[in-house]
Amino acid sequence: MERSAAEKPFKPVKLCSYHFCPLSLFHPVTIIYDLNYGETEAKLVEARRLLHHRLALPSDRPMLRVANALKFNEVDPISSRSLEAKRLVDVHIGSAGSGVAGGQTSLVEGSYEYYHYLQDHLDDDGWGCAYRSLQTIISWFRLQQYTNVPVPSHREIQETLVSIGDKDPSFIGSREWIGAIELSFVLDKLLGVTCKILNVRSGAEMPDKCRELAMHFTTQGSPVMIGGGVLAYTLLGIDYNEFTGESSFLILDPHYTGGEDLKTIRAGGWCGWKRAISSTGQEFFLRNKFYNLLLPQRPSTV
Amino acid sequence: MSGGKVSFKVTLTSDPKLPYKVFSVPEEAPFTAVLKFAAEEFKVPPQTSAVITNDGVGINPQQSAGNVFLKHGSDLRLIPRDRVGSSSS
Repeated sequence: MERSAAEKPFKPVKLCSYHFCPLSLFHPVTIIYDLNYGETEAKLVEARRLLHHRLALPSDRPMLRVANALKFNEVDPISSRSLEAKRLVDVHIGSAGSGVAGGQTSLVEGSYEYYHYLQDHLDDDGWGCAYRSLQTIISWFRLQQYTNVPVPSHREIQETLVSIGDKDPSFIGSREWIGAIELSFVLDKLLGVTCKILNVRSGAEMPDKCRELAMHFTTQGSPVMIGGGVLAYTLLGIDYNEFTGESSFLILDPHYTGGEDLKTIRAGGWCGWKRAISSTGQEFFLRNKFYNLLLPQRPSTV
Repeated sequence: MSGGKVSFKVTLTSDPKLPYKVFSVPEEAPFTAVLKFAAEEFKVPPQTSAVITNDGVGINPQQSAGNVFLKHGSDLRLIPRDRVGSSSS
């Protein structure tokens, strides 16, 4: 507090205290932040780096940001509230097996909220699936406490794309489709998150990407957005046998139009394992379409 | 160093032969120009194309060519943009 007042003697400070209890500490700590700075302002990052060092915390992940602070009004662990709707989290847990014999499974790490069509009283059936996938991804960054930026609405996503010059102002309020590239721009602008984009020339080549996707889930653990063949999906895991080539993809489908009922979602296959080629020979990824895979990267920062 | 030029090697990833072209543009030129030239040279629509680095990081073309060169280097890829929306059912 003294340091803030000394540095800016004539500028009002906006001090707020937060309580943290990272797992590696035996007791909670209280930190007083000047909220006049944004989270990523260089001075605050440096202050947090020093605190991490003093408290012997890892230096590559956020643990003392405002988003990490203890919240004393705990949310229901099964569902959560945002954008005024009750949403399911981690709907893949307890799903039936992938059916890949001898496969190696790699899954999303941590929690996410399931965003899909028609939530928040918004009729986005037929156009909003990539927006919903983006909302699911941003919810993951929130729940892993990388940010406390609220999950944006479709309109806010559009406004962001206009603000960076990727779209004309007429885009706002439209029902225009977006894809992996737009998602990468929004994640960069709103959260400062970098994404890797894998371009797959044909759906038939998707199984060839299993090793890379498995590496992503192991090292980053964030949900992946798949865009191609007019559909967007959120990918939550991979199961593949590198010797037989069999592969299965754990897909969270944003095209679901029903209510927040886990049984209905599971029974309808809206979250579950999809084989690249089904037992009846049907392709999940179309061979005559290209796909872009969006792999959000964890920021290595405090 | 005003008035300087930067060069980019842009590879078309949608073609299995991975053809590439090298473009040299003024530093202050908008990167949208590089995207447009590259798309036209490869005969793909610029509006549905995007540029990513060799590591797969997306590049917002609304910045100068010099900026892109400094941040991402010169080895880039041109990919088609997916636009997705409707259910298959």
